[in-house]
Amino acid sequence: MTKPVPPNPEATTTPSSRSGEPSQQPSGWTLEELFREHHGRVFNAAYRITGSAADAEDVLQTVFLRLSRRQDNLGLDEGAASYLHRAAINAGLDLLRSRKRARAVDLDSVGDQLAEASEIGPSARSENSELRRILRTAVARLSPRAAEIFSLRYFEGYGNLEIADMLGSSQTAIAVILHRARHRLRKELQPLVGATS
Amino acid sequence: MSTPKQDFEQFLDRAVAAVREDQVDPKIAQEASDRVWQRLANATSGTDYVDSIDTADTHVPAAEPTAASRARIRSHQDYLSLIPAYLANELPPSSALLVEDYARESIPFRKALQEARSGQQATTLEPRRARLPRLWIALAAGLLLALGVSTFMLLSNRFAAAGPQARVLSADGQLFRLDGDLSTALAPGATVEQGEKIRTSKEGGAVIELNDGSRVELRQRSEISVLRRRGETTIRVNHGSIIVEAAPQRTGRLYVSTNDCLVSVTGTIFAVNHGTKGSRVSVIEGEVRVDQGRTRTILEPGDQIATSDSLGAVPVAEEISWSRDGQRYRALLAELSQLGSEFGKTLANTQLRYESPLLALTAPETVIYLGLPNLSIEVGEMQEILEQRLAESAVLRGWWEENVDRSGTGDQINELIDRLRGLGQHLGSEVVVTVASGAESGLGGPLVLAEVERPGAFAAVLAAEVEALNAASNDPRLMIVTNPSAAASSSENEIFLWLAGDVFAAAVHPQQLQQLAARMAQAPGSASFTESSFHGRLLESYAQGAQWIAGLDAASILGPVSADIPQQAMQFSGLANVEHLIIERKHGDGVVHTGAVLTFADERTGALSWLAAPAPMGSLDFLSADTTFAASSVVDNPAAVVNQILGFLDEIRPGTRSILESFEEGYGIDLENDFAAALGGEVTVAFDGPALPTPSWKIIAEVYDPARLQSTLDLIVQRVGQTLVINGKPVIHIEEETLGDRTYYSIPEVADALGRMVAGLHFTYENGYLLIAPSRALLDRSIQVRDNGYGLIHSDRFRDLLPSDGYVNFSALVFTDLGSIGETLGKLASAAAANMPDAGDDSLDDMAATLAPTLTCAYGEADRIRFVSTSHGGTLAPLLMSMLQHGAAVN
Repeated sequence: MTKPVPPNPEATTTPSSRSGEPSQQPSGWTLEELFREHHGRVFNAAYRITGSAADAEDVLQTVFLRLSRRQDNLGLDEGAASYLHRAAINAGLDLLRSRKRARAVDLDSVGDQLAEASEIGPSARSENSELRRILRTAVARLSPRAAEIFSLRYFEGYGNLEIADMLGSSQTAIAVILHRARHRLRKELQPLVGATS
Repeated sequence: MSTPKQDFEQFLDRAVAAVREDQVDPKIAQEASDRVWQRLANATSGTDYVDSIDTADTHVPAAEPTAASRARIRSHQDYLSLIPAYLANELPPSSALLVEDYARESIPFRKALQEARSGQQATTLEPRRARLPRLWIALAAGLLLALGVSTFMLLSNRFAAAGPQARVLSADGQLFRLDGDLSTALAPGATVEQGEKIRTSKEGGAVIELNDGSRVELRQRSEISVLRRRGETTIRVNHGSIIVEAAPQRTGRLYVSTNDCLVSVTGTIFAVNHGTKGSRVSVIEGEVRVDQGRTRTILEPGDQIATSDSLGAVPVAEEISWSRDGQRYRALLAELSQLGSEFGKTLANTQLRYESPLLALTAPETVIYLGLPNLSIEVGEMQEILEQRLAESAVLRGWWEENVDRSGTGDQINELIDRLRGLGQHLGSEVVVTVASGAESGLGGPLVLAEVERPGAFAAVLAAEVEALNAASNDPRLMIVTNPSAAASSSENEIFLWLAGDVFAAAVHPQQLQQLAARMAQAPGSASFTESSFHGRLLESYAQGAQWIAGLDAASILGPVSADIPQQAMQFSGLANVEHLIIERKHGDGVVHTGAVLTFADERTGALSWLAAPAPMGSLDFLSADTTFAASSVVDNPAAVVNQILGFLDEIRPGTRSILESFEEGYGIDLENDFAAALGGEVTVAFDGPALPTPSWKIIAEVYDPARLQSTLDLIVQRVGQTLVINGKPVIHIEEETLGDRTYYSIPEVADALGRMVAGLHFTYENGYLLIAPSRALLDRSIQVRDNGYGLIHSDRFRDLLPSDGYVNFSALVFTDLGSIGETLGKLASAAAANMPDAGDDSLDDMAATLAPTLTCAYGEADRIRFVSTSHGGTLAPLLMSMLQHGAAVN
């Protein structure tokens, strides 16, 4: 029998509702409290990266397991949300990369699958599904830092300034990395653009 | 035809949107979270989480247990044994990630993994002996540091408290302590530890008492836990209903948290009902603050709030009906509501005064005049109401004895009110305080005047009070004089009190009383002050009915000061012509009206003349009902304003105009004619929407000639851009995009010389107005609000504040609703507090949250500017109730 976690509506909200929540909490949370507050956010972020509920569950487990090993997790009070957000993204990307190594999935095969999908008669839903798969795979092929920043910016909706604050970088550096990431994605995905339109 | 790059951008936009819209079923997510938590809970309570996690990993493909899947990392050797399985991709994903994780965080682990990948035999990861001393030093230092930190935290009592946080007072049915899969029944007297979950059974109920004396009553099937950190207690409600009777918090607050709201109090009675659909908070007594997402709400007795639209309101009495004290709470709620209502009515009934006999006794040199209502009668009435209620209601009497009398506050309040009533009951309806110019002549300093209705009785009370006060403290010393001519000052800290017939006066100089005696001896109306224009202005205000009135003879005050101010500045500002400022404040119908009139010797001049006569403000139509701040004004002639500013700058810094002319010549523009003349004179600046992460500011300016203005802006940006390029700085430019009938313009964000990004802005033209905002979405929303016809000016919170007067339009207005941006201020305060230990952000939060919406309007007339401010601050009754409670808390 599993121990139920109290539902947390905020945990399933979009990034726009994330502000304000840490300041409402008295600081110094335990692992259980951090899990209760953030499990939904971590799960959803991981799901956006991996596209799989099972993988997202693994990521959720990994992230909080890592956190449980941190002796300083009580110091996460103010930045818990952003730390866990980043951790979820990185763990999700790690998972995709490890799967890539294991299964040798690459864009070429995706292109083939895409062609097959288009022959079947792609509905908007299946097209979106393919788009997601292509983008997720391509993002996982970016450098770890670029992939993280790209995910934070476009999947999670953070602004450049917020990302710069999170990563201890400058807004300009973030803008440059994003520009390069888009350039790299364009280079890789341009051949597939026609197939999905 | 689109370019490949455009195609890709569209493709990427679609792909990103597809990812962002990809939502997992909440039920699946919740079940996954439950499973993970189960595994984590098991793992972290044991000694070997890796094993626990991996064996419980439901997403690992079903397979025979292998050495790898049962792997343990209890030692370095365990890690080494996992590496082959990891390199052979035989580990489950979560185990593989942990192997990578160890490698990332530990150099020996990383080195071992690298060696294994390169085919070398990783021998051992045990630390070398040579490193031991360093290790021991590090351990010792760590221990010392930990001891120091722990001691500090213990001493400062600002960490998570261990040990019992509450004890069970009573329990109907069963009350359980939940610990994993175990449930232990709790009996009265049992303690509840930090973070421990307790739950009531069906048809049960319980009352627990927190360490601070607060009592929490749980309804059936309710589950809570109690956490105490940093001197603050949080009651976490997982589900169910509770009623909290919070003890006065000497420091900090008591919190009740659910997963969708946070309730905080300093001492009050309230109920929280949390279930599947959301939470509902109801207040029985005192004040409660509820934070929900971005919204902060202050609740008072009888108020209720729900966190979900699907959660309807129910009467507060019904919400607490399950409580064993439900009847008492309902009675208390009714009593306090009634008391607050009657206090409010009493204060709102303060009589308006249409004349003041004391005005004629005011010194001719008076520059500041304050007319205050004698509230001793109202305060006395409120005391009588309270006493009557206390005598009639056992519930209220019990609450008073518990919360006020026990702390001694009741006696202090009664003593203060008795003394105030003792003196005030013999005085007339008004107390006047004046300040005259001419300290050198002995006339400076405040002079207090009041009419006395029963001089004999007042004299006796006054003598007794003076004796008592002088006995208590000699600083300042109170002197009752019978003949001002014979009075003399022997020290600086003396106050002279004189009862002259039916007039009472208090002054700091005997000469002030001597002058007053002289004025009283003159025929009525012959005193020179009654001939002054200042007197005339005050008389006008009294004629319209006054409660609180303040007058300032600005010309007399500014006269000596203006000698130190450059003449150009005085002329430019228009202050040279200012005559008087009269401020009035009246309470009534739950609304506080504050008005002010700034009058001029003749027509307004300088900057103070820019304000146009009241006129329609179409720019307000673009503000949504969510607006938290708006400032709008109408000026007669923007070109003239620009001209006057340039003229002033040229006067104080000769050559400014020629520099500007060179600039205009160089850039090929005429600021006055090409820029200012294209504007219509009406402008609004507002914050309309979320304050974070990007403030939703907007500027809306009336434009008579959009084409000319845009042409000028294009030219300015182009030329400035060229200059920046020459200087090697980032280029700014205007981008233009036409969608349908509308053209959007934007200046993209650029990096400044230090590499910081300077935010860009977007603008467009709509119906004769220039709209500027940080995003195109905000522009569209503004236009949509205008088209829908339901924005700020149609909202109840704005219309309820509109002053009742004869004006149809305004010359300027400022609307603020700072309560709704309390969270932002709280964040800023929290950020500041991070650098300032013990800098409480609650005070700022509270201040912002309790600031009522306020509308301040200005009307420009030929020789005056009239200001009116209205606020839903209500009467003083809530403040008094709050003071009672805070007094109890402090004591």
